[in-house]
Amino acid sequence: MTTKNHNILFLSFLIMFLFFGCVNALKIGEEKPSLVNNIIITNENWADYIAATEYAYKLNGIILQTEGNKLNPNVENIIRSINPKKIIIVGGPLVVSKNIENKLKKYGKVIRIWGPTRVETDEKILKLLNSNNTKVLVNGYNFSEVVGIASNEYIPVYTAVNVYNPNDVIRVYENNTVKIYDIHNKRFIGEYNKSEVLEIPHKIIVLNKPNIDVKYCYNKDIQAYGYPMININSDNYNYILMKKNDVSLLLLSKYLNISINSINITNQYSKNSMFQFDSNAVNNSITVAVDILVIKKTLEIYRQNGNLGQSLNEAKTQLWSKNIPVDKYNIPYDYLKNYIKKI
Amino acid sequence: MIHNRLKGVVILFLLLFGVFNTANAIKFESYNITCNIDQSNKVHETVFLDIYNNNSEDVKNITYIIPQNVYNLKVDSNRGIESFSKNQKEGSTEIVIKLKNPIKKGEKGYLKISFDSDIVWDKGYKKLLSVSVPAVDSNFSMTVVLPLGAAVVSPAEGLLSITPQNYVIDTDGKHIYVKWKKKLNASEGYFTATVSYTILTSTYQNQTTTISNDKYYNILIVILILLAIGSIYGIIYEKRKNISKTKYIEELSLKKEELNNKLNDLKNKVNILESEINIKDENIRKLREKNKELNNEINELTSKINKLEMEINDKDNTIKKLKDMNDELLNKVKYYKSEITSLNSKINELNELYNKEMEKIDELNKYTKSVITEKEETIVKLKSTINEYEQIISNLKNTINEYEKTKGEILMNILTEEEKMIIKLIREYKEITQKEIVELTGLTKPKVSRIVSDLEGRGIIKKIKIGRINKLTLSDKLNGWLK
Repeated sequence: MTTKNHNILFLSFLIMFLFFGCVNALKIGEEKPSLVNNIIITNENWADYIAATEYAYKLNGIILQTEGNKLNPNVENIIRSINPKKIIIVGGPLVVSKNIENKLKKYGKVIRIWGPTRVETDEKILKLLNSNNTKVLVNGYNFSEVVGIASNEYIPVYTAVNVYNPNDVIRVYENNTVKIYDIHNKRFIGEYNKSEVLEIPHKIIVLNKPNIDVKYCYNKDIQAYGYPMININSDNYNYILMKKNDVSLLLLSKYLNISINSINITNQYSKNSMFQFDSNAVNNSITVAVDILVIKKTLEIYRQNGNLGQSLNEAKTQLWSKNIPVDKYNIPYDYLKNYIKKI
Repeated sequence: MIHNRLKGVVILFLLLFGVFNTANAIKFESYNITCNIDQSNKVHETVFLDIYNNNSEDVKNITYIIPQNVYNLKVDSNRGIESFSKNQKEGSTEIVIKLKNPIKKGEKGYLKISFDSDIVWDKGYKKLLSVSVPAVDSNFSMTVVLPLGAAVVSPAEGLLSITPQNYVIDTDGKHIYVKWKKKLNASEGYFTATVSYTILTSTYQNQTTTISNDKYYNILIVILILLAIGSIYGIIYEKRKNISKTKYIEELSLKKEELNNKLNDLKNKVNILESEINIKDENIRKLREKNKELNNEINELTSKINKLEMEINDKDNTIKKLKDMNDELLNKVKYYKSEITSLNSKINELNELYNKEMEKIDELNKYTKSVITEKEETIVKLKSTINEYEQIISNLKNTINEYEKTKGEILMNILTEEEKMIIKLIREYKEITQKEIVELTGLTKPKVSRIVSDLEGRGIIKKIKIGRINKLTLSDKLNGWLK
């Protein structure tokens, strides 16, 4: 673009700006008042929820899980009450159905972020997230690896790692690709780029890695590709107590600005006393969403009146009046106090 | 670089200007909301906005967005309403109002929007009102009027009856009023109030029904009737007493009227006198003012005279100083005149010297000119000589060219017929053996051999070896000469 064009743009900007200060049509109120602007929807599986956690936090939003083929009525009620500006579905139509997408369109603008596998879906989210935090390659199909990284305040980058015994497979090397066949089952496993296949003594490692700049890994097979292993504090392995159904705890820990491990280190509160979680991932995601709504509203009221107890009760009452199930709120008062203190 | 920096400064300035301008463009002097809840849980809301256009274009269109569905919408304003409409979407209602007379810069206007809505959450025994209104920077007040027989209750355990705090509860004996008054900030987005209440009226009605059947209640009715009869008698007695008093009052009022008339006459006279006094007072005041003005003028003139006298003194002093300076200058002029005379004589001497030098320079100039003329003539001669040589060279070139042209002919002329024949054969065949020449010419082999070696010796032809055979060809020098 030439300097002349730049100048024209600059002048137009100035003129628009000067008009900005002048009002001839007065507008009072927001076009779409929302309790939270962005809601992310995933299915009950832990993988997409963890992939979307950092992004939801960046958007100042919440994540709700639903059954993959129909919109959970409790989730629908809460979305209706929140009246969001944007609903982001994470996962393809096989994971969160087209039917759900159509239903959600009633409540706000719907977009879908997805790829053919969780590796590609995660890659797309990471590109949107564009975070400078340390990223670590993990096997995206291994829950303990993913949650281990996520709960240590790093960003997990999903990969697909497949390891074969050289005696079980035949490798056909071509110009840039390698075809792998299963000897015993007499089947074609797949065709890969040469860079994706690594042969080391007694092992053939096939790594499907997203196009993301990553320095570390948290998997021995990925380490063979030359990525150094990330150092995780060996004292803090309590995150392994986390189950696949309560990964929503990760999002709440981000909002409360506490690490999941530190909850247990202090021995002040046990994980169970903090969360009365059940075995249903959808219900747990609703509980965390309610927790986030309450703490956000409490903070808003606290900034005006300076009385935390009163603010909490006011927040709960006002959210209750909007049909938010505040009876699910389960954050101990001391946690709330620390959260407010930190902010 | 500097250009970009300037752009940055301009943008920063405009940002500040924009923020300031926008913040001050429209002011909401008051923002009052009343929510009146009726027995059927319908809420009649009235929004009153006092708008002041501080520094903006004319405000003609106003959009008010409320996060609820509304009906029975009415709009009023002291600026007149040209039109209004509502657009309900995604749980909120956009009310668009067009004013007949826009609120111009520096003017005020109010806007009254009233509507009904169903924002009471009826949970049977308990009811909950949740009302949200958009926040603007203003002195804000909201009043919720509960229906007849309502009492404030807590909606559920851990929840509050009324939010937000800092409310005041009042009553007029029939209704309970919950009021908030605060400085509202636009950054709050929305002001939300909740009130939980229950209706007690039905219990009260049941109680009265039970009492109506009671015999004591009948006795009470009889006593009340007796009291009413006694009151009527008392009223009639008092009325009679009143008639006689009325007559006396009428007489008194006639007298009062006469006295009033006299009083009015006196008042008129007093007024006339007062007005005369006022006129005189006014004259005195004017004369005093005139006197004051004249005194002021005299004072001003005196001060001016004083100033002028001082100025005259100053000028006298200046004249004296100038005279002294003048004398000094005259002395200096005399001195400079004598200096000029001596300088003039020196200049004359220098002039003579200058003239002599100039004469010498003229002589030198003449000599230089004659030398230059001689040299120029020599150059002309040399040029003509060069031209002559060039002519000779061109003639020689022509001669050489002609020689080159005729060289072939000359060569042919000096050859014998047999030699010519052999050369022609060589020229025709380009390459030819001696044997072929013998066969083609019919000359004897020794003769051909002799002529060939003779021509070869003279450099007209040459032998070239192709394989084992010697062939004859024209020498390179003659190539092109022989045609």
